[in-house]
Order: sequence, then C-alpha cells, then structure tokens
Amino acid sequence: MDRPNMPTNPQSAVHSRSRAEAEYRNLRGVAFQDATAFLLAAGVRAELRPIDAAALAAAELWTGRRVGWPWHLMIPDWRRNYPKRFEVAIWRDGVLCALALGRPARKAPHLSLYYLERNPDPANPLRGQVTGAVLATLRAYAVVLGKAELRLMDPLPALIPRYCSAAFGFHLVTPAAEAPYCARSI
Amino acid sequence: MRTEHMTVSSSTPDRARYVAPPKPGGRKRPAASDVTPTLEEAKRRLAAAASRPQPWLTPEGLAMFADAPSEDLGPEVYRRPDPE
Repeated sequence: MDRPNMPTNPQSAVHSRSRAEAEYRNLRGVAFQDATAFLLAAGVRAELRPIDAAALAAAELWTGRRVGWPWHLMIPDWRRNYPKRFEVAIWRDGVLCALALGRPARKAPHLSLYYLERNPDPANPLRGQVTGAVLATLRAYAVVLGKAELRLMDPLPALIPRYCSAAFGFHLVTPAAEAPYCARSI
Repeated sequence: MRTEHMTVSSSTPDRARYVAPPKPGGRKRPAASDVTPTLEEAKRRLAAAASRPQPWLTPEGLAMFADAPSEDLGPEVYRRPDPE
C-alpha cells in the first residue's frame, strides 16, 4: 500500500539547510555592521566579512604561523555542519588581518569562539587589536542570537591573564577532562 | 495468529513519524535563543544592547594585546566538528 507521507525527503532537507544557511549569513551580516560601527567609534578601522575564497587564498600566503590549521578544509566542514556558526575574516586596506570561527550552543545560552588566528606578519595593520575586533563581532552575533555569554575555548595559557584581567572581565573555567575556556556574560 | 505488535516493524514509516506526547503542564514556550530571529528582531536586539559596555573596545582593553606575541586561540591541531 502506498503511503502518501514518507518520513524524510532529501530535497526538502537540502532546501531547509540552504535556507538556514542564507538566514544566518544575513544575521551575521547585521552583526558585522553593528561591530564595524563600534570598532570605528573606538578608533579601530576594520572590514568584517565572511570567510570567502579571497580570505582563504590570502591565509594560504601567511608565513611563520604558530598553528597549522587548514582553513581551506575547516570552512567547508563548518559550513556543512553549522549554519548558525560564527565566522569572520577581518581585513584592513586589502590585508587579511585575522580569521575566526565559532558556534552557538544548541540549547545553552552561550556563543563559543573555537579558532582565532592572527596574520603573523609583523606588518599586520591590526596587530594587537585583532582580539578586540573579534570579541566585538562575537558579542554582536551573540546579541543577535539572544545568547547571554561568550566563551573563548582552549585559550593560549600565556593569554589567559589578559582575558581574565579586570579590563576584559572573563573568568577561567577548567572542566574535568575537557579543554579549559574563558567565559563572560554580556 | 498474528498479533498487533508483530505487524509493526522498526522500518515502518509510522514509527519514524512518532512524536512524543506533550509533557505534563502543557507546551513550553521556546527560549528566545532557540528561534531564528528576523533581521528586524536582530537589529532591535542590537539597538537595545548598544548601551552595554564592551570592555575590549575601551582604550585600556585595546591596549591589552598591544604587545602580545600572538592573539591566536584554539587547540594546537584542528579537530573536525561533530554534526549539529
């Protein structure tokens, strides 16, 4: 006997995924606009964009990197799995200054930053200001999503005192058998 | 003789469409962060949050990483994410 309603329609799933991808791309765009204005008001001129082909090509040219993250593989991985992800490429005057990637918790009220890499070139025009620029963008996207807390996952030990300083206001959390993170409510 | 439970296999579409009954006490309203906001709602939220401080954008905050040898964050090696 024919059943009119089969459980899962693959085409429908693809359509739903592409619609979610478009919706959250637009929401990230709204967060980028807001963060750009905040940064400018603080004296930081930066262009915030999605991590596109131009950003991936520019990152391929970075030398002297501390980490060997394969951004050209990471972005397709995260696009496939996380339409709500946080991603930003920070540019200034045609120079790619940093890439960052994160995602919101499914149910819990936090947005986590998982990867941040600064262009290691000493001539990076936003050297020393990349963290502020990424946090301003992360915070704007958290506000858009209705999240109340930011998390910086797996921070470099040498940078933890800076995140946890009175100026930044994060606190360190060290869960058993998991990577540490710095958290802050917004 | 066939009993009713013998006629239902695990591959029956009806099983795949099973929906749990509502919890006692009625349906809960989803949290704001569980619902995809419209662009207008996103802008409204940002406008409402505009007055909240962003310490990383104060002169003191911006100077915090001025001399940092690195501003990277994350594990040494890339870990592929689990599907959502």
